[in-house]
Amino acid sequence: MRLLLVEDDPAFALPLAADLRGAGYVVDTATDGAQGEFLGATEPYDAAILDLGLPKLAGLEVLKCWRAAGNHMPVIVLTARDAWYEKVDGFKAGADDYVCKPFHPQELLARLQAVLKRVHHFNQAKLRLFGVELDEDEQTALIDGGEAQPLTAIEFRLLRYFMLNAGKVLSKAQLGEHVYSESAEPDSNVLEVYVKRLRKIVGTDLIHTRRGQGYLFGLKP
Amino acid sequence: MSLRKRLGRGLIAVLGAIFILHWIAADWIIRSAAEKQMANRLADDGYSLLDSLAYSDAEQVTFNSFHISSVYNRRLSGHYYLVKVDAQAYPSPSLLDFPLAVEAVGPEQSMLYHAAGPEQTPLLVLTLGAVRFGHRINISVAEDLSAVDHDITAIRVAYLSLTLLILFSAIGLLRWDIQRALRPLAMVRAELEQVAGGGRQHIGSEVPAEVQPLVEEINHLLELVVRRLQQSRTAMGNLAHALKSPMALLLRTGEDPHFDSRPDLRSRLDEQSQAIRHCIERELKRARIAGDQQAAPGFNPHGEIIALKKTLRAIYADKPLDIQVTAPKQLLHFDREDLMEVLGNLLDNACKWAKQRIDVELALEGGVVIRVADDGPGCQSEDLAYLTQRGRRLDESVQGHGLGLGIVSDIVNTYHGAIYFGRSKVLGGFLVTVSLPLHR
Repeated sequence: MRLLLVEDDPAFALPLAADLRGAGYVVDTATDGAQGEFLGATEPYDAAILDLGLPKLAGLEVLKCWRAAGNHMPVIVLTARDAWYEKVDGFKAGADDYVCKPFHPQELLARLQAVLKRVHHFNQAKLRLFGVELDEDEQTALIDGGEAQPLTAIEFRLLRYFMLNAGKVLSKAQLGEHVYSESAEPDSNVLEVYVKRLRKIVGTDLIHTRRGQGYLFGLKP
Repeated sequence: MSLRKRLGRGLIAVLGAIFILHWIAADWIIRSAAEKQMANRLADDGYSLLDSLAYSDAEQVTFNSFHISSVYNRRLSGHYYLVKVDAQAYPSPSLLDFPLAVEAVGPEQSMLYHAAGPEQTPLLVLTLGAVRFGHRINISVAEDLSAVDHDITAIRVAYLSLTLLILFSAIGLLRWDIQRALRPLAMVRAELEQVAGGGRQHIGSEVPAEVQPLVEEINHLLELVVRRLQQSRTAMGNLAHALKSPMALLLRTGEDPHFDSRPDLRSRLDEQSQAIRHCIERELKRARIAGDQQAAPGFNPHGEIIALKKTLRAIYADKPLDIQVTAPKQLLHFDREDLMEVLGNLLDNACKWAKQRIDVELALEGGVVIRVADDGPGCQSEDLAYLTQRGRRLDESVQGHGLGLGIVSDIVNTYHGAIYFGRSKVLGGFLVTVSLPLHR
């Protein structure tokens, strides 16, 4: 396994590189953003550990450059500024994980292993069935490759439940468990309203009413 | 009291006083003009009578009313005369027996005055004095004023309504003009409200020279606040950066094999450096709270929470989390860093404890209301009070250092908001509700 460590503080980088080497990784180090960006773009690394506060080119910019060039190697971001908006911005730029300074070397090693393991089987974020594509992250539905339609939390849960149980008749009680919200009391005909809304989104021929039994998601036999 | 009202009231009072004085003067002029005209006529008749005086053969002074109008002969016609030769009075036939009270005037003098006539009618009387043929003669000619009064009243009413019409139009026009003159101020006020609400960063409208310095000062202060916040955040970040690397080295020192023989020293070093680290983190986070959404640019809460959800799903990649987001897709003027800190910490907590399901809801109900519910074990009600305490953790087995809810509570306090903990009715786990007021 070959790693790239981009960190400008030698007092911090040298012992960390030693720890990583001790754990069996081959480690290349870069001490500024421009050098790190160049190494990451030209050498085939298995993962990169990237500090955000870098001279010449900020860590976030380095990451954006890599991702824009189609480089998908896993990147763990190191930062001293432990704020949530920064974590989100880091992930938006394409980071895979985040470690806040200061940390125990073991913590970084554990995160590194987890990131390397998950690269190839990232937990399934998309569900496709009968031309309906459900995006777990964005909370949207794409119908026959059309435009992504935003779903509310309840619509999303209900549709996913339908898709995971396609072809089965689902009772109102089963479906009702998915129609709830913290701010509103459940209501007996709320389910029908949501089914109607879902039909509008996915098309009327995918959700069928079975009188006295419930609903069924699937193509007409 | 507003400037507009103050100016309006002053103008109305001044205008009202001027118009009342003007009307009284005009009324007096109209009346005097009418009486003057009447007096001229009376003088004509009086001098005609005076001219007709003759000394008869019987040593008596006689006069002839033939030259003056016949109305003096019609009974109670409203036109009367009374000729006094010494003490002898000769009333006009129109007077019947009414004793007209006249003033006595000296020779070559005349007097104009009001007197009461028959049936209490007001009369205008002109008395001329003369000495003819050795006799003192007073000729009084009188005319009923009531007909003239009637005409004058009609004119007075008409003039009064005209005056009032002019007064009200003047007031209306002036009010409109005041409003027009104060419009830049109203615009500044509207912009100030926008600034307070976060929709605007400075006041841009053209203002009169009198308030220009005020607006410039406000703009200057607004810039200063933004710059100071930026400066202190940068300084805090730099300090954090500067402090954390030595802290990391300190933590690493604890790993040194030299300590293998002294586990007590190692644990003391570890404990103290962790304590310092928690202190630094908490105080730095507190220092970073903006605490005021003034001058905050807008952001889309839906997009941000979706991004946060992706982040958390990546951090908790080994846990099959089902996070559902409900948030409006509109611009929200609130400090993004603070709101993300609240959401991030609440969601991070939920992710730690949830078995699978998490519901996060951001609603704009008067202020910003955030609800985060999970299907985890929840929290015993007697423990709820300890949740936000500094570094306090109820379960040492889950990773983290207990800063999350504490910093959320700090942010909520800075914004004068409220935070409630409870049990989720639908998911069965922990439910946190945070409400943050929006300015106005």
